[in-house]
Amino acid sequence: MTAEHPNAVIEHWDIIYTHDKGPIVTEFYERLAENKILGRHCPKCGRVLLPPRAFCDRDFADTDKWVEVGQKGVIETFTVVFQKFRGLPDPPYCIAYVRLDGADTSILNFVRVPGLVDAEAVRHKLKVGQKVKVVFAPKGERTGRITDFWFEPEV
Amino acid sequence: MKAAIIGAKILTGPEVSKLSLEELIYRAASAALKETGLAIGDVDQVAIASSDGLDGRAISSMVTAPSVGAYRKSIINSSSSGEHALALAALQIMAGRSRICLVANWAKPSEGPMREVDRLNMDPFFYRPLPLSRTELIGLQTEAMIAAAGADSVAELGTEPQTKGATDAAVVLILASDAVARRRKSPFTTIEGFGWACDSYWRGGDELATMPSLAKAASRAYRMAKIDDPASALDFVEAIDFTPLHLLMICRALGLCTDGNMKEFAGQLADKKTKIRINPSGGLAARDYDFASGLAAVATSHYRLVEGEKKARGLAHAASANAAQANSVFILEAA
Amino acid sequence: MARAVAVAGTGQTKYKSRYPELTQPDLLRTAIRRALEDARLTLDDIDAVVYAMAPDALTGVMHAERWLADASGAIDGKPVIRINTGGATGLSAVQAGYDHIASGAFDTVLICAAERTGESGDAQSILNRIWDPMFERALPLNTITMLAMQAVCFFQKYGTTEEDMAHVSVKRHKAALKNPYAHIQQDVTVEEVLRSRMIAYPIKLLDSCPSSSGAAAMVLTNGETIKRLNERPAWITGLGCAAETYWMGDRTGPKAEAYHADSPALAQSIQTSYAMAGLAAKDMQVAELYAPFSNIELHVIPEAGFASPYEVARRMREGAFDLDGEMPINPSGGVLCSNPIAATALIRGIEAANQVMGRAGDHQVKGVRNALATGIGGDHQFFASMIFSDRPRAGDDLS
Repeated sequence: MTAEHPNAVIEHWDIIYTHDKGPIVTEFYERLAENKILGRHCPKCGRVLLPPRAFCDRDFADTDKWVEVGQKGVIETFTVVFQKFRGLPDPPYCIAYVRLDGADTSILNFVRVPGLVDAEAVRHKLKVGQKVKVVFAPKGERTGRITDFWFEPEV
Repeated sequence: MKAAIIGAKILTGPEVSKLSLEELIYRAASAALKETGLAIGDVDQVAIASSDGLDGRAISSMVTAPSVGAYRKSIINSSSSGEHALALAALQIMAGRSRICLVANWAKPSEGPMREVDRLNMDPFFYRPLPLSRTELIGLQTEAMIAAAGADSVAELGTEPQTKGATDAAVVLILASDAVARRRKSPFTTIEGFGWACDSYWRGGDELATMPSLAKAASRAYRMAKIDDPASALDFVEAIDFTPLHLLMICRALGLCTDGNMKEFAGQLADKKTKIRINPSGGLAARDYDFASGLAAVATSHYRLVEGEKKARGLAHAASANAAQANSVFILEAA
Repeated sequence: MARAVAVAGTGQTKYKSRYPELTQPDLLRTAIRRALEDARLTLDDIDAVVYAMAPDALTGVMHAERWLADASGAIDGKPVIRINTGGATGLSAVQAGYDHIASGAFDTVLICAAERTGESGDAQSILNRIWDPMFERALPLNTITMLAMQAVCFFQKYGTTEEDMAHVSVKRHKAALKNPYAHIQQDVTVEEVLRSRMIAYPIKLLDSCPSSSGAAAMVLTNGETIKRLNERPAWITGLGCAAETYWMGDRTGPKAEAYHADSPALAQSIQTSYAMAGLAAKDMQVAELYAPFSNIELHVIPEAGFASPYEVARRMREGAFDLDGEMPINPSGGVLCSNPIAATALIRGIEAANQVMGRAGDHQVKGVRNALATGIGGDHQFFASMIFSDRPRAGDDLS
């Protein structure tokens, strides 16, 4: 209990999980460290899936090969967060699903756009269909997660 | 109309630990379908049991749904246990709402501190400050069983834990109506009776040792299967035996021995000379997959029946929750 | 032949932010007691229990179905099963209850849920943990951002605006004033909605559901039993469920089945319900459609066949979906005004059933013969739907 909650038991969960990546995810991040982005091809529907996965859930079939995708693409949908949530970054920030050249599905990541101060700014600076490019974090700052790259508008 | 099991797969072994959870489940589901001669399009319903705490994913069914072929299918998730997902699938088939249902359950204990996760199952007001994981709870239950079973039985069987810890696995069953199963001309089993029940959360005393929920689950299952004398009607039992003493108390709850002949039965269990075979697979020692152990006991029973005599019957026992608080019974018959 | 299944009674508690005066088991018992009273039954009449509970983390006790077994009525060895399909949980639980009875295995089943979203403190932070750990967990996704992106897609495809969203919010808040259980009972204006704090573009505070606590319960029974209990039951005549791909990025681009503005899986689920009931959209007199944000209501109304997506915003403004409109939607105030997560989709079923039974009080729609209820879970991924009618489904066994 605390002064604020005298009648409550305060519980703080702190469990550490080690999620095995499996071969596909491992390969993806190894190539990402080389500044390459790779999707997986489904032999049934022919889509190049990004993020890559061992199987296509639409066809319930194994994906069969790696396909390197381009590092430019378009915003398919986005949002800009203005609210602070515990454990999540300080606002404002933009996340978007971007379809990179050569991929058939979109991948989620941050879009770094300066000046997103309010809804008006959002409407001016971000649009579905907008062209963006991949920007990698400096080699020394990589963490092995998807945030090792982000998107920026292609001017 | 009865539900039938037309296929089963237990995917486990050291290689599976290197896979992501999602891929492990997919491989098990794919293999089950392939071995049953079916394609994902033949399935109209999926029933899973995902444990958020175990999987480390706050709504685990979201990210595991693709692995079980849920895309554009009807899917239900019974997080309480794999055997409950199986029960739901059977009810759906019996209600005529599904022709072929894929049931899946898994555990990847190598990914998380399972015994720490166990503690989160305890209420925060009274139990959680205490060190209560599966290990301690089974220990408490064993103590209660020693008191209930008596010194002679304990001497015969011992109280050695049967497993060193759970291993990674995914278990998949394919269910169909018995009419669909019959048309296929491959061996299958029918679910003749099933039942499930839950004891009180507040574990204590007599209930902890005698597991009334198991007796109730069995009673339902026997009634459905029209079984008056389980010792005559069944050929074997596959149970979740944390210790040999647990196995004795399970047999008691299943009506295979009475308080009157418990010492004698304990002796038969110890010598493996019981009238019907108890845990011919080796029991939990051979198949401890944590949250997936229950469905694995059913799969194991199914395998045994499809390779044996027609009309043979096996009883699969599944237990889950804190110190086997929840118990389920499935009676399968080789068709 | 399946057995007919009817709703014998329902019970709800008032929804509010916190319930400091009641523990979880007591909260649950309150709703159960009310449902049993409504059904004129006792706990002894219940053969089995289906317990609806969504992310364990929100309750703060994993597998709390075990802790709540006693309170949920599963003492004395009653069979209890817990269902978890995210936001759709409550309606998936009713579907499981339906199968218990339609199969012939049980006669009377209790479905119940209790939630205290407000107490988790960090609901959206917890809901950040639902995402794929390999590619999405590192990003600040939660249920608001996921559906904010859906709004952007809908704007893009159908030309709707933030003002269209605001009109939905105004309507629902007004409707909730006639629902004594609703959490948020506060009239708002379009200007107030548009001026409210932006959470994730374009969703603002007054476009969003609250974090609610509360409990709900429903009793289902077979034909023979309902005959002696209730002259005007609600029969379950249609059920449907379908899942969309988990991957939201797959719902974009030329090779997508549909752009994320639309949900073919939701439409499929509802069509399945209609087909099973032998009915169509035009046969519904009211619908309780799961929509936690105002934009989602604009999206789900067309998926249920009640309007074209190009017209839905205009018709909303014109009052087509008001209590006295051509097709009342969410007369309870909907999810927008009460969202005790595990119970929310069950409440859609309860409200729909109450409409058929004539028990919806001040928000009763006149002449209801059929009512549609939906529940949505996961990342706009699990879609459950159900139809309640004033007569049993043709061909069902009434024993």
